[in-house]
Amino acid sequence: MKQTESVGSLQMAVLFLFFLTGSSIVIIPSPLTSVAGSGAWLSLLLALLLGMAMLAVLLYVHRAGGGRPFIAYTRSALGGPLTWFVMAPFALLLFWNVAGIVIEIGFFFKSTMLKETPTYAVNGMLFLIIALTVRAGLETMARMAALLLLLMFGFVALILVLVSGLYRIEFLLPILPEGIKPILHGAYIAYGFPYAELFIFAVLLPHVRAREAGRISRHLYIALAVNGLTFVCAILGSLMVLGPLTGELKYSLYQLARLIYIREIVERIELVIGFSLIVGFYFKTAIALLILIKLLAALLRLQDEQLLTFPVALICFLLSLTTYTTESATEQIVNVTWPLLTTLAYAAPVVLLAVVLGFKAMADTS
Amino acid sequence: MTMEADSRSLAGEAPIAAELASNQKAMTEAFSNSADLIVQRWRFGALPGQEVLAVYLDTLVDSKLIARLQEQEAFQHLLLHRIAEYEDRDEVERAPSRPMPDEAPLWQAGTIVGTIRASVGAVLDGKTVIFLQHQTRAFTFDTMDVEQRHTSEPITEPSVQGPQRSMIEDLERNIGMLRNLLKSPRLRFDYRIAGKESRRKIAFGYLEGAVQPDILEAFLCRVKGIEQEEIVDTSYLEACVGGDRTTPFPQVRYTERPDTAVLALLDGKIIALVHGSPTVLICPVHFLEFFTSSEDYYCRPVFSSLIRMLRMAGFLIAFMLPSSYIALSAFHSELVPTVLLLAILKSREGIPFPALLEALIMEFFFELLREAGLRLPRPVGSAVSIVGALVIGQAAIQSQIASPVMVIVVALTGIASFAFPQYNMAIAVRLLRFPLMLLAATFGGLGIMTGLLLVYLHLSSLRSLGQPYLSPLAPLQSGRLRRMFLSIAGPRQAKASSAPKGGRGGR
Amino acid sequence: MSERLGCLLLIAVLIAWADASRFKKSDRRGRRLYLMLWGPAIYLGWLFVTELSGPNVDTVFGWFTPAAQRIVHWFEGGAKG
Repeated sequence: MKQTESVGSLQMAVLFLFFLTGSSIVIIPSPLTSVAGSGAWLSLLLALLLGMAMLAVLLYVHRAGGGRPFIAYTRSALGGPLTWFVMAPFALLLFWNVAGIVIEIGFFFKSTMLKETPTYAVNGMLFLIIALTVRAGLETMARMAALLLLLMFGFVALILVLVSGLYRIEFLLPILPEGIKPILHGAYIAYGFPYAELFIFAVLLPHVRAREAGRISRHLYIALAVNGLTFVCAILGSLMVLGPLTGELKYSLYQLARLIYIREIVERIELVIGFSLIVGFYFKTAIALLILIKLLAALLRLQDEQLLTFPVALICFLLSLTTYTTESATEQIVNVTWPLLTTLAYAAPVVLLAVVLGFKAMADTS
Repeated sequence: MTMEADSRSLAGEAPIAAELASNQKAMTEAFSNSADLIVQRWRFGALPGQEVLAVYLDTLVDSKLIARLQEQEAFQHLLLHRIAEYEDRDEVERAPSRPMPDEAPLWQAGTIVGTIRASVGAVLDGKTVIFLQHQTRAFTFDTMDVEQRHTSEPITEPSVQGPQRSMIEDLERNIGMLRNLLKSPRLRFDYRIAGKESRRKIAFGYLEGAVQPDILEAFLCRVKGIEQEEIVDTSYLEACVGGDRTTPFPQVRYTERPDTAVLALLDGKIIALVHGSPTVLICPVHFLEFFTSSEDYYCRPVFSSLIRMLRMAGFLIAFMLPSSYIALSAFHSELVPTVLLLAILKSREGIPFPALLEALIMEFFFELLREAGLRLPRPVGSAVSIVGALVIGQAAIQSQIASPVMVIVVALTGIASFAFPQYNMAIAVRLLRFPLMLLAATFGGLGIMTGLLLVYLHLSSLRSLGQPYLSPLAPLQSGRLRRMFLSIAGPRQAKASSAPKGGRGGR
Repeated sequence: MSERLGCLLLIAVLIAWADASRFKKSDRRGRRLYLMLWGPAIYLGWLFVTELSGPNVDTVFGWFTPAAQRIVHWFEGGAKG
């Protein structure tokens, strides 16, 4: 009766790349630089390595599950009650994750382009289009992703190229003035946001078309590598232009865009670029919301997952308006608490699953 | 009325009677005594068996041809002596004895029918039905001559280079034109008769081997119930074939040029023609096709690629220019270069309305002007439209209802929307401009962004006969995109099929 | 405050209208879950409209903050040495 949606392996990788890059590309350079200075890109590479390891665990779990839906093989591995115990925090964190991205966009707009519009109006508009996108379904979203991705990356590249006249290589040194700990700190932040969030893709991976399932590992690793490379470029670009100020100014890419000035015609284009960067936020949130309703529908054994879209979106919308309404509070949670939260709620269940499935596999073969 | 129709249809299955009188009565009743139905007795001699009953519709037939036939000896001989010998025309060809030399063409233009219903159908098709004494079969002869438009220049799709023919209202002649341009045995046509009362002949055509099987299947599924519908024009077919009706975007395309139809067939599309309409329906269609026109293939690839990009730019302008102006002037004035900004502000001095209202008023008048221009008779048309445009533009500026910049914006938008080759897409864009303007006025750049994303989302979820509407943009297919915009692939080749049937291959 | 309430009511009506056909088509379980989701939504909506700060997700996250801060201190402690 209900046709399971399926997407190609490459399309899944595009969604993956989008999710990892979407909001982080604008936000990431600043907190990393404020703790790790010019070594921020090293932090990122470390986090990327960790990300690769996490992807390996994710892929292992997915393959060990035999292509079945995430909750299905979790239930068979852990049993009903333990699944609930483990997945409830997962779902709860994901609720706020969705809200959190929109909170970030809200602040972005408020501080830059739409200073007068009230937060609930901006967030409301965004949630409207996010919910409608999720309603269109996974296949439609996968179709939309490629062009939006090119748009986003195109603008990032455009910014980095247009400010190249302002690059000062000397800002990249010194790299490790205060030892390794700041680098590790930066890696810790980057691990929390966005890499540890990749575990939620466990919900989507079973939707890859069966005949392309063999290629998914390769595609996802490539996506992760592209993501890392893009981050490094963004960090290096920000460092080379903004220097020591990178850590102080939020939304580094936007700050770079503000500095673009070519004769008198191409100036103040940060508005256009700002709106284009929103595409990344919007689509990432849509992916996260889609994952959330799929997770909830599977957990609660609901047939029609799309029924949940609007209420869940409404809850996330209200969360975005009632929690962490000040920028400092948001900064605090993202930089301090988030890595711990994602480790406990996202990583721990999947790692646990990996261990259990691993033991089961060993027991089966012996 | 319906009871008579029922009894008529019951009588329709009745076989032809051996008596001329009862046949005469049956045919007259079937046509409700219509004044243009001619029922005549023709006598070819004094004997009782040499009388026949001819039935035809005066308004459909060529009366000169009928008069000539009555004189022809071969025709008389055929009717009085030959028809009795054979069950049907095919038997004639198998018979050992050859018919008289003059008879052969007469046989070819006629058929033998056995029921009243078949006779009625033949008369409606412009044939003359001739009932014979003591025969339970009748001979029908093609005598149709109805006023036809000659093929002429395409009215709605003019082009600079390339053939200047357009299709006419006759189904067979149109199919003939297509076959003349595409001489492939794999070009296949299916006929249907639609509607109980209108009995329109409809044809579906496709190039076997080029069209994908799943598309064909989807299409045939959609047109299953077509016999029940009263089809007056090709656009009525859109309701069956077109799929989603809640979208402003068209999922089929129309053309009246045979060369465009042939190109579509070569591309693996299915076309539909209706007798009485010069327009051909083409499906499935995807969004980017609305920016192509057959003229692209008559120019050099570089030029046609550039012109396609120009059309896309036109689309974006037609869609986004008014809203961008509103957003820029109301929300984001810092984005405009200072010199231009000063000019805009100076020109907007004294305008009592906010930008949105100004834009809505001007756009509304422009749309009104456009619609009015369509309906004006030709002698009056051009004068009124020029005066109207001048008056509205000039007067609006002088009375300070609109600023010069706004008039320019509206004019540019109008011009850009005329650059579309396809009318039904142009309408969609005209409609969608207005919600986008409202969004821009409320939320500025964010509103435009949201509007664009919503349109993109909507287009991505549309399908035309099961094919994604936005392909090759979504899902992204770089090869097809490149070919579409850069036309580097070289001379055009017909789509090769995955499982080629017999006959000529590839080309 | 009233404009917030008005906004929320409008949104609620729109959602109800958009979901009406889906809701009717789904089974008892679906309907129950759907209505249950409105619980937290109403609570959060009330928090939003009244601008109170009741217990919320951030309260839950707040329980982990001390532990998180200790981790971060460890990173920073070495550097400031």
